Amino acid sequence: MRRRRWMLLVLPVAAGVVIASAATHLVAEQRFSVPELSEDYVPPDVPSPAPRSRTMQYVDVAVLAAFLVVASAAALRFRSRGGLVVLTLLALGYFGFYRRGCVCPIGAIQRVCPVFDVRALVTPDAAAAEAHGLSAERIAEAWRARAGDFAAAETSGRGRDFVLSLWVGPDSKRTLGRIGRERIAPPGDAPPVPLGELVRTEMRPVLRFAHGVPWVIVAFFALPLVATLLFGRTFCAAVCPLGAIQEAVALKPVQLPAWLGHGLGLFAYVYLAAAVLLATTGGGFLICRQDPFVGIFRLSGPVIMLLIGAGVLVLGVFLARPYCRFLCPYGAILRPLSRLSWRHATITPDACIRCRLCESACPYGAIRAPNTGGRPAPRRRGKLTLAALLLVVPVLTAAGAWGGAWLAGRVARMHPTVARAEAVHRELAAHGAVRGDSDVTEAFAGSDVPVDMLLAHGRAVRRSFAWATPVASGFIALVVALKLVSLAVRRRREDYAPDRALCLSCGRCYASCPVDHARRLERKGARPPAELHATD
Amino acid sequence: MTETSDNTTNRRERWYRAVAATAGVAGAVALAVSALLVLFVLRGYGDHPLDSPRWAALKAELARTPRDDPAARAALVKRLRTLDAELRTAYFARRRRLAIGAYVVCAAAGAALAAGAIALRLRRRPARVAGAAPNRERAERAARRGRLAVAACGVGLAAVGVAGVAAIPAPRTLSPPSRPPVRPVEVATVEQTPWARFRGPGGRGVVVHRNVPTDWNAPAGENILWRSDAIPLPGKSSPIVWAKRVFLTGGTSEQREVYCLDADTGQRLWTRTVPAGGRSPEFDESMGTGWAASTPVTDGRYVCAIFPTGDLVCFDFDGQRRWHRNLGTPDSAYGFATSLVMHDGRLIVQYDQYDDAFDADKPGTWRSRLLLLDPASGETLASVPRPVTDSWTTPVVAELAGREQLITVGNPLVIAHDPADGRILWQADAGGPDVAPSPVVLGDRVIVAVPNAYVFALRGAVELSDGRQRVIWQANEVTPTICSPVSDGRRVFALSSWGTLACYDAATGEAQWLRDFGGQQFNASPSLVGETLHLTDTQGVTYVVSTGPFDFDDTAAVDANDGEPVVGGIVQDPTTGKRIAAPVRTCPLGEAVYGSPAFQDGRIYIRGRTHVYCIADAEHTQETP
Ligand code: SF4
Ligand code: SF4
Repeated sequence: MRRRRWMLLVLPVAAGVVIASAATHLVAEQRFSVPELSEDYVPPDVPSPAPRSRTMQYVDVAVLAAFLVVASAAALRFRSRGGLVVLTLLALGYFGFYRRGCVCPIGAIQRVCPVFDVRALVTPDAAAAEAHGLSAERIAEAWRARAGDFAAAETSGRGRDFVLSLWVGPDSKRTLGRIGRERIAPPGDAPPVPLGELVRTEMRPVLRFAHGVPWVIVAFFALPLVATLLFGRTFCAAVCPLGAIQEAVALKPVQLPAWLGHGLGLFAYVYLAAAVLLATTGGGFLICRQDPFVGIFRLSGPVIMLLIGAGVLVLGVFLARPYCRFLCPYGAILRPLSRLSWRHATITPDACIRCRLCESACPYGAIRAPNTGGRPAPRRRGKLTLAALLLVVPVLTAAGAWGGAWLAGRVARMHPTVARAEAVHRELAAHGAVRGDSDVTEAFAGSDVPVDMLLAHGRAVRRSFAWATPVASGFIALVVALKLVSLAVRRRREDYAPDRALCLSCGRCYASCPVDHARRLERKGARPPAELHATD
Repeated sequence: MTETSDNTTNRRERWYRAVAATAGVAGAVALAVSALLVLFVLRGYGDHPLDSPRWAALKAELARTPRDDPAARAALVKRLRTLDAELRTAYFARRRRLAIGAYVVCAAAGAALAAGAIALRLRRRPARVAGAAPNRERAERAARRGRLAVAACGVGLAAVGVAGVAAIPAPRTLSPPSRPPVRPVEVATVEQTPWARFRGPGGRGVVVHRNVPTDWNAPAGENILWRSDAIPLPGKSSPIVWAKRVFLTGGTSEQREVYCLDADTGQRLWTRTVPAGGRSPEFDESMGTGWAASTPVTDGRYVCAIFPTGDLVCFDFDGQRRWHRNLGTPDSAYGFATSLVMHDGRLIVQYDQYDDAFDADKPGTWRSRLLLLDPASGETLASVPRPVTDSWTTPVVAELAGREQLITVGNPLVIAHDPADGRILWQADAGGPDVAPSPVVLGDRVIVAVPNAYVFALRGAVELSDGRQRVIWQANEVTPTICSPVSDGRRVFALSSWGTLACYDAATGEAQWLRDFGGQQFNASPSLVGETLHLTDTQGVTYVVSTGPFDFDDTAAVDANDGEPVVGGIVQDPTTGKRIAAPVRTCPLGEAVYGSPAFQDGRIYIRGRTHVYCIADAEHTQETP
């Protein structure tokens, strides 16, 4: 009976959240439509919002650091769930609604990872030069003279050995095309030849590390990692706005079976690998595009984003922090770091008395029970399993990498440049020209970028996928294998203790521990009751 | 239980009820307001203001209102503007209301959550210990289950991943595809010399064939090889012919089309709609040149056509669209009408347009330009600004003074460009307002006709030596307004659109004779076939006129039997006393004609207002079934 009454309460709330998000969308999507203007209309200068000022960036980093310090103190030193809750709400306000979920350490992963950029090398084409009766020197000089048209291009060598090298982007591709259409006159009265026909342009991917990453982003990425290495996932406890919004709705969480948690927990690594793969190859920021809550923080966004966000929140009423536990790529990084942390939140402030009262206190399934007692273990079997699984690690990793290499070409289609190149190529092959049948090809046809440039760029990007995809898929396979191994290793556990990888240091379990309770009463000056109990 | 603890429990229970009720009420408010919002939105509350039926109706009315009723249109436009402002204001008011609703929902949902959390706390039960105590075996069982789950998830992931990615079609090679070469449709013999652009080879209006018909009567079916079906859209452009294909264009303010006819049967082989890329241009429809005045051009591979909307389109001979570009709607008082030219693998567009702020001293602001494009891809090869405003002439490429030049006539300049890169070679102040006649080149000279001003002969050398003037001679006995002049090398024939034909000496500009066609209106440019001129008036009547030899014999010009003039005959103009060329034949088509005819071996293709005719002598007519 009581249970059903709760459902009556929770369901409207949940529905409300969904519909609120949808309504937010309805408000957000209806944009001002451009009036039908005559050609004389001069569009006004639209002031673009200024980037966040330098000072405010310092403030953001300072606020983050302060939150981390306070959260760690609240979780480890003061063991104050109330304090953590207040901090969570503050973080939701500041990093969530005020800073609109950006910059965030989760998204920062994509900025700090190395990136494949594409470099173009333009060299005189000896055969073409000969065919047109032009010397390589002449061609090299013509190109050298135009190197200044690029934002940054280097030249080296002379004649045949001349190389013009530059980073490829939309502007440089256009400039390459424009210069390629300029003509130089061969000796005699032969018609002038386009410069582009006299050179070979090769494009290749180059991996660049930490190129042009603002220090604020590095700080946002690194500070929580440092905090985790010191004190466990206190960032997740009360600083992360995504965690905070989920924590706020987790009213009636159910316990998931541990095995299900282990299985679903893998998805975070898949997400991490996919996001890094795309970011590294320059294919876009998956994490930011799929952030379920950023639309809610901004009260605006695509309908699907808002619906997913609302859906995750509704789910979060019953299944605590689903995003954190099964998807968050930053959490996937924090898990192993937290295992190594110098200090970590504990359920009990003192020795565990194995009263079992905290057994179901953790909504995240992060409390590990003691694994001693009972019949003695048949040691051999466990060891065999472990040995077998250890052997599996390299095999599985190799298989994963091989699979990635096999599918790299298809995966590369996620990259917009490759997708565009393929669409253009398809039209070219079918009709001999880019007719602009689809939006993509039509936009390209109007872009002044020569087809060959686009195709070469597409090939170069694809080559970067040929490297990055096996690494990503091998990484996923490695994680699966290591997870299997870790589940086969038996570490002796005498007490109830949080699983350091999964524990978010949220402090919910403190109150269930009678030792903690006693400690609290003591501090208040009261005498602990003879019988310990866990009610309020 | 003591009384105090009873009291506490009661108080707790009361609190619980209050808070739970609050949560319920807040949840219900959130739900109700959201439902309301959804209802509003479903009822079109958030609809785009310009989707309003009132707006659409008014717009349709505007479209129906004829352009020559500016007062009515202005009134309508004013109403549209008022309605627009009204609709937008209402729309933003609605949006504000929706936003308020969304905030209410958020606040209520937040309150419900908070109250729910408190209520839960009030009802919190002491933790209970249930089930067996943990031990090694249970831990191991759990680990085993965990391993199974992880293995299952891993296998599932791999399967879904591989299946999902493999479902993506295999990647393409991305090596530059060898473009399927568009092979030119061969024209094997000199008989098939194509009439590939406005006014045929070189834009000269000179027919290389000597065997074209000189006599026909379409209403009577005489010497008519075929008459096509009605061409769907009207057009003042001329037909062009390459091998067995006739191409032409048609258009209205709504739609533009390119047609391909079989040259032997007149059957329409394909009809292609031109994508509409530009704004509709505004020009005076009654005076204007219509929606398809520019003649298309072909090089045997591609057929390119341009329209007053700025839409430039390219098809191959099979009607496959190769590319389409909108060059930006050109401003033109009578609508853009310049025809396209292809030369040496380049498509040439003389893209002159009106500019009320035209300033010859500010090159950066010139709106007119010469465009060179790659006909295979539509890529711009060169775009050269031109210091002129709108014109209706078609350029010609010719060898002048030892080099190839592209001669254009604009307002106010005649400009010669380098056809390879568009560079301006020279310019002369010999253009003028409303120029429509295209230039002709003879030898090293350029003949230009400026309406209501002069016919000029200009020197075509890039550099003029020893203080020579650009203008060699100028004449104004007859100055064509629409029809382009034509020359046989010795003489220049100029036809005014009200029907006066002049023959000027090409060397001196002296008028040798004039002939008046009595008030007929001419739009088609004259064509020179051997010693005769074909002049087609807007009624569709073609006058086949002798140009006359210089040393004529007056008496031989008249048939002794019936006193009618014969071929090559010259008559004395009764009013001026000048000797003039006599019409040898008048050949009716039976419908209006605006474009110039296209000539082929033994054939003439004329586009009437609605049909295309192929004229051929009876022997030719019988030759082909
Ligand atoms: S696991 Fe949750 S709290 Fe931690 S970083 Fe990810 S989203 Fe934030
Ligand atoms: S502190 Fe850790 S173990 Fe305790 S409830 Fe929170 S997440 Fe679970």
